[in-house]
Formats: sequence, C-alpha cells, structure tokens
Amino acid sequence: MHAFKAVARVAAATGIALWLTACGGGGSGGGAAAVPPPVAGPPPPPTTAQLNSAAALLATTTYGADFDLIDAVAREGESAWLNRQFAMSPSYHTPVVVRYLTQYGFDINATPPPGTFRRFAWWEQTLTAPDQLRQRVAYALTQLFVVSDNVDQIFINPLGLSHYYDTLLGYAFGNYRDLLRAVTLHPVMGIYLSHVNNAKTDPVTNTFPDENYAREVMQLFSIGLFELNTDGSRKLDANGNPIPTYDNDDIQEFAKIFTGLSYAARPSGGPSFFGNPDPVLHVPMVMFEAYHEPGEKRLLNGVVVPAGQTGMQDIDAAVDNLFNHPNVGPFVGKLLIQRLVTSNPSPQYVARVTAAFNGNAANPRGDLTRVLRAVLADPEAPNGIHLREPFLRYVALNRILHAGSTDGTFPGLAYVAQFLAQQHVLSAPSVFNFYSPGYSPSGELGNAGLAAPEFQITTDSSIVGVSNLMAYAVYGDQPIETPAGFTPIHLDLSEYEALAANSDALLDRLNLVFMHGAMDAATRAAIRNAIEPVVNDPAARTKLALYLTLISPAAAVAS
Amino acid sequence: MTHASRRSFLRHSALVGAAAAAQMTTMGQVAHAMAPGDYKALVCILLAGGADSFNMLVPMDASRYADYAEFRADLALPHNTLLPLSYTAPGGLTYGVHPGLGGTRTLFDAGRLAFLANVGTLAEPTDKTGFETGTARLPLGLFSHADQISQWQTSVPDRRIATGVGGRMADVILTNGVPASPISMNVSLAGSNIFQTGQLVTDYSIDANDGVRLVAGYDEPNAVLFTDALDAMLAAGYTDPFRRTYAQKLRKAIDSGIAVKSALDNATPLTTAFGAGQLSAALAQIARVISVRDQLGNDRQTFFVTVGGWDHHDDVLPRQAQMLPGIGAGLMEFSQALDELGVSDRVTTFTISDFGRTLTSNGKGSDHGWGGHQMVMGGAVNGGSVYGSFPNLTPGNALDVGRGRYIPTTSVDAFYAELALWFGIAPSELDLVLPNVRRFYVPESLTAPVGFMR
Repeated sequence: MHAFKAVARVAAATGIALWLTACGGGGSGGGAAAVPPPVAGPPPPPTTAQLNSAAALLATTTYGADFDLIDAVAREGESAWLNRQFAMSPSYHTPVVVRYLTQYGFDINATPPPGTFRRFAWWEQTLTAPDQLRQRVAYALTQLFVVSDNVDQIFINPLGLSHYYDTLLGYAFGNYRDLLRAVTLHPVMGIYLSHVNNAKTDPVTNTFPDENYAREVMQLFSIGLFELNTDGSRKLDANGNPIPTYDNDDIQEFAKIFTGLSYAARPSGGPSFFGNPDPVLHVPMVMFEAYHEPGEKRLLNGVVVPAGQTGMQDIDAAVDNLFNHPNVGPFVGKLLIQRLVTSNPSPQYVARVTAAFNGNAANPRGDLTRVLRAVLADPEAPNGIHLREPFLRYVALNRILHAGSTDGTFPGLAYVAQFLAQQHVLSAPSVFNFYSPGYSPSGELGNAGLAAPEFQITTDSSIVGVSNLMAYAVYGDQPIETPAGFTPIHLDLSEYEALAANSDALLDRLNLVFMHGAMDAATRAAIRNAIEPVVNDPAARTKLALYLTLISPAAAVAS
Repeated sequence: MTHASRRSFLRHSALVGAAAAAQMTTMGQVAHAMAPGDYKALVCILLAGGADSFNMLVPMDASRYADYAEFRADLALPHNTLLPLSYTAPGGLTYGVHPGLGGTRTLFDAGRLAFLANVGTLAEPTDKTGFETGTARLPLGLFSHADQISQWQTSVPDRRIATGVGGRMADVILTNGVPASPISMNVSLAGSNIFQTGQLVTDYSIDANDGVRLVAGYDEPNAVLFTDALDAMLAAGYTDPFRRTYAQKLRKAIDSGIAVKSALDNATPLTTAFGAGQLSAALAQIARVISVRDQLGNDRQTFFVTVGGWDHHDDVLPRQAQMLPGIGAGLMEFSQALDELGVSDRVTTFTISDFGRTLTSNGKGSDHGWGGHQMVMGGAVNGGSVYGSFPNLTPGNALDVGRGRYIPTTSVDAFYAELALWFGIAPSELDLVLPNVRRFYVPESLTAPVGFMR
C-alpha cells in the first residue's frame, strides 16, 4: 500500500534489508536443545531467581547490565555489590572534556564545536565508568535540579555543564544540604534561573531582585507547593484544602537573598566583577556585597535573617531554612523513588524514605546515602513499575550490547537519541524537566489515578522514534555518521548470536538481560513465532529477536 | 466506545452543568448542522515561558506612551522604533507593535489580525481590593510557570485538571456523533500537551521537521514475520496497565502514521514559501495537513505549536528583537498559505503564553506577571482592532498588584468562549468545554463573549 514506499526507504537507508532471508514454513525448529553438561566444581551457578533479582536491581542502579555483570552480582550478592558501589570514588566528566579541549582547542566555529565535548564526555563515562550507581543517581538528580543546554550561553561552554554534572556526582552520596548549596552557587544554575548578576532593589531605576531562582528552588528543588505529611500526602486545612508552603511575599523575600552573586573569574584573566559578561562556568559563583540586598529577610516558618549579615551568610541561612523544612524528606524522597524505582510508591514507602532523610540521634538529617539505600532496598522496590525513559532505553542498549570504538570515544552518540526520541541528559525543555512527576495519561492509568510521568513524552512521534532508534542500532549498526577524526561505533551481538540457534536459549537470555525475567507469555510467543522460521542464519535471528525485544511493551516498562 | 456510551460518559462527567445536560437531547440536531465540507480549524501558538507582550503591543499616543516609558524604564522601546498600527480607538488612542512584528502589522492593517489586550487567567472577576484582602478566588500558583502555562491550556485556573480546551471541544464534537476518523482531530506539532487532551481524545503528534514517522520495517513486504510479531505484541492482553497503555499508544501511532503519511505523500505541494524559523517550519507542516483534510476525514481540527524561550528575566530587549521577527513572518506566511488553500475564513490562529510580565525591570529583564496581550488571526477575525481593555500604565493603578503585574480585564474563559462558539460549539455546550465560563459570560445571552470574531 501507500506506506510501503516510505518504509522501504527508511529501511534501505539503514540497511534493514535482512529481515527475512528465511522462507517461512520450515520444520519446527532448529533441532532439540541440547542440555549442557553440569558445570563441574564449586561454587554452584546462581539460580534463575537470583539472576532475575540481580538483573532487576541492576536495571535501576546502572545504565544497563550485560549478562556477565548480572551473573557476577548474583554470585557476589546484591548488598555486597551495592556496598562496593557506594564506596567507589566518582568518575568525573570534566577531565574528559579537558582531554578533548587539549586535543582540539577551543574554537567555537570548529568541527566538532567545543560545546559538544560535554556530551562526548557524558557518553564515554556513562558507558565505561565503574561507579555506575553514582553515575545513575547523578542522572536522576539532573531531573530534580534541572538545567539545560537549550540555553545558548550554557551550550557553547564545554566545561559548565560537565562541571555541574560533576557537582551532582560529587554530592550524590553526600548530604542534601551541601548539594542544594552547591547547586545554588553553580554558575550554570545562575544562568539558567537568572540569579547570576542579580542586583539588589534600586529605587532610582525602579528595579527589583529577580524572583526566578527564589521561586523554583522552593517549588522544584526542595519543598514543593504544598505542605506534606511524612508519607508524601498533602496536609489539609480545616476546610479540607491543601496548605501552600509559600506565597508571593515569601518569594520576594528569598529573591533578596539571592542577590549579589556573580562569576568568580574571567577566562580572559583579570579580576571578576559584578555584571561580568565573560564568565567562567566551572567555578562556583561568588558574592559581591555591594549588590546584595541589605536589611532583614523573612524566610519560611517564622525564621528572620537579621540585617547586617554578609551575602553568603544570608544564602546559608536560606539554604538551612529550606533544608530544615519538614517537606524536604517526602518531597525529594518521593521524586527519587519515582526516578529510580516506581511511579506510584505507597505512602508507607515514602514515609520510610522520609525517615531515612530526617535522620535520628545517630544519623544526620539529609544523608543521601541513607536515603538512597532506603529507596533501593525498600521491600516495595522489587515490585516497582515505571515506564522507562526513551533516552535510558537507548543508553542501556549501548551498554548491554557493548557499544565500542577503536579509539574508545563515542561522539556519534551525542545527538541521535535527542533527534529521534526527543530526550537527552541535561537538555530538558524547561526547569520543569521532561515531564511532571504527577503526570497521568488519560485513559486507564488516569482513571485509576496512577502517576506515569514518562508517558508525558510518549507521543506518537517519540514512541515511533524510540522504536526506530532500536532498529537503527540493531540493523544499521548505529544510525550515525562518525565525525571526522573519530572511529566508528559498533555493537557486539556475538554473545546473542552464539545462542541464536536455540530459540529458547536466546529468549531466556533476552528475558533476563532486558526484562529481568518479566517477559510475559504473549511477548515470548510473538518473538518465538517470528524467529522460528528463520533458519541457518544466527545473525538474522539475533537481530530480529533483539529488535522485537527492544521495542516490546514488556521492555518499555520496568516492572 | 459507542456514541451512546460517550454521551453517557459526558452526561455523568463533573463538567456537565444541569442546564447543559438538559440540552444533550438536542445534540443530534447539532451534529446535522456540521455538514461534510463544513471545515474549521483552530491553531494555537503557545509562546512558552511568558512573553513580555507589553513590549509587543505598545500605546503610541503621547500621554500613554509617556506612562509606558516611565514604567518600563530601561525596558521601554523608543517611540520612533515602534511600527504604528492603522487604528485609532475612541479618545485618539493609538498603538504600535514591536519593530520585529512587521508581519503582524501588515496582517492587522489588512483586517486579518486583532489584538486582545490584558487577557489572562481568572478564577472569577477580580479587582485589586479582592486580591489584596484575600477575598478574591485566585488562580492556583499565580505567577508560576507550571501552573500558568497549564491554566492557559485548561482554562480552569482554580483546579489542576488533566484536560484542556481543545481536548474538551473534541470530546463534545465526537459526542455529537460526527463520524470519527481514526486520526485524532487534534494534531500537535509540539508533542503531548494539555490543551489538546480530552477524556476521549488525545493529540496526534507530527514532528515539525520530519513530519510523520513510521516504525522501521512495519508492513514492509519482506518483513511479514516482524510485522505479525509486533501486531501480536500490541494486541496481547497484558496484566500490567503500564504495558497495556504502552501497547495502545504504539498501536495508535503506527496506524495513524500510516494513514497520515499516505495522505501527505499524495498532497499537492504548496506554492507559498515558508522561512526557516521554528514557527514557520511548524506552520508549513500544519498547512500541509490542512491541505489533505478531506483524506484525514475530520471536519474539525485543532493544531498546537510551541515556540519556547520567552522567559526573559534577562536580556528581554535583544532576545525579543531576535525572536519576534520569526513570529510575524510565520503568521504572514501561514496566512498566505491559507489563502492559497482557500480556507482563510475557516482557520483561526491565536497565540497564548504563560503570563504577561512585570512592567518594571529587574535591571536585566522582566519577571513573571499576569495579564498580557494576545493575537488572533484569520479571515473570520474582525481584524484591525484592539479588543478587551488596554490598561492604564501608571504604577499603582487599579489593576497593578505590584511591579506592574496586571489583573486581567478579560478572562481566558471569555477568550476561549469566543473561539469555541466560532468553532461550532453550541452555546448550550459551552459548559462542557469551559466549566467556569458562567463566571464571566452567559452562554444564553446570544452576545459575543469578546467580539473579535465575525
């Protein structure tokens, strides 16, 4: 019909011609599966249940785990593996960017432009760094403390966003209070929410402090719009209405706090100054007292910052005021649960994470390692359900199938997911991230009152786009052109091709690695029916089975 | 869902007022009124981020310009740079547009475009006393992006709801028994959005640059096994509602894509040339879709396009100078394309934005405000006029709730009521589309809610 021509064009352009070398029919399969002889000697191999459990944990704590890692974690034990991950030091991204800058220099008009180096570094570290849990948590934090390269001034600077990401990496297992302060003082955030070069009130020119950061640090980064119980539910007033956490007067007071900050240095040398348009984006902002709003400021919950403090003392007071607000535990805790485990945690789950955040006599408030352990080790976690982000599905594919290049770099991956699936790390359309945490699609999920944030970016074009991303990766060996000066990126399917002669062995492996054992019977039957007629062509079998697995509803949903 | 059950659904929906429910029995007649060929479309352009519209439409008469210049201080546009509009309101009031909006001026002077002044989200008619004493019911999250950008699409500012004006209009039209096309009547160039989300209808997304995307291999003659397997996976009865929802969405995307792609592939190319700007690209794609409206089988369509980047806390002057020409040019090109297609009278295009911005400066730009000005374009628009009430621009005036944040004098409800009635929503159905409309307008009055449509 009419659509064939267009599809064929897409297929031809990407080398998807091998679908079906097989003439259907054929006998009932490639022979009986031989039972492998038992492996001699201790220790015994992990059970299927152990492997599935390890795979499920790794699906939320790494960017993607291949069979060998799943098997290793099943043998080592999940908590031992988590302990090692929490103890690992960060693999920072800035040094990789610096390597590129050393290699290519800084030339805005060059190919590749330096603004892309942070993306090159992100892919390289994400696919290769051993501290996967920390890297994955930093990714979750990018969707809480959102900044984006869709602002030109941020995009063109190669070091700003990588340093921002390194800040998230550095504090990922630290204290939330330190993280909030570091984010507040980061020049990339200063540009993104416009509190850099934000001056005090000037009655002569009739100008007032910028309110942007003051509002969003409360609404999005710390306490949210309404007062919460420890289980994440809203507190209600006597009339049954939710209770706002702040009003516009509060915002104007916090706006005064965030005045006087500017860049710490100038790349061209010489002392920095307030209003400096020539920023260094990888050094925290500093205070210029002459531009800081004087006088007292009235913060939340009756806290008054006295007049006469330094600007940085004011900022610390405001950070403390937000940090000690009882909303932070349930607000930030629930967001972390949603980003890592499940879209709809029970109130009890949220309350347990809040308790970890709030701490006790022996443990400080805001310890993110304790919070993350509570999120990941909760008894509800293994039953968590969320739609996988399109971008993370693509990242996982590349990690699991060992994307690699001769020179060890990945510049060809820098934009393709954004183009086809409309998502890329640190490139959200606004400070409100790619989706709202409460989003619920109309239809069955909406009617049931279930949140499913990632469905907000599951449009007709993105759902087809992410499917095609999988097709191009599997059939076209990546849909990308290798920029000049780099070596091409290839996937390695040999592990699956070695199993391909036996449909059940292949399906078992795909089920474990891509669905941690959650493949339903209908999905398995559909893939099996597709590959059975493909005989004597392990490569074709593997690709067809992989493509179907990757685009299946069962793999799209983490459950 | 059958027509009967859809009707039953809407009847029991919380949105249905008693009066509207009583009118449901007459909906069959309304459906007949929409004869085949009676095509109409609404095109919503979201200027995301809160455009500083007090620098898009500026008073030019001496007295009001002086107020404007003093209030805006370093953000004021010089008088001699404004493009004067051929329009004088009673009292000798004159206006100009931003120097980047030449296309807008041409359309305005040709009677094809109108401005609506100081329109915004209102939970009820509101004055300054009510605002300051806390007695007025106010929009939730006033001055904040997330709430205001959403309320401009839902027109329900006192609740956070999941359906928008375009979605509810589509629900009503489907419920009226207009033959349903498999393609959604709501076509988005900006992905999922609340405006086009209803209970029965969601958007169909087209990429502004790529057009329609199809799943690689699907339905290809040599990929029968793949196609059969994907069909089977999408038809499977999953126990998990997330998997079911994903399967439904992928199924719908594949089927709609095949149909739309086929129609567009066979469309006659337009001779109107579009520029390379973001709005131009999106409107060019919309014009193509409109050109194949008969194949897509919807007598009513809404289109949604987003142009982002208007949150000008910084550098409002240079950034508007850079961005507004793309808006004026895009509107101009789209108007020409609609003329070429012979549907100028059948397509009405309008802008929305999160909010207006503070008249006062923060030294670099402007902050979040409330009321602002919007544009409406089309052959059915009573163009060449400024509608609504353009506010006094002296600080501390009766609408200024601080720093030149303006209480809107026209509600988003009245704005959408005017568009919905033109679109073919009956007065008796207006409550379904705009649950709060009676706070601002009596649908039975037979007067126009604002007056900008013919």
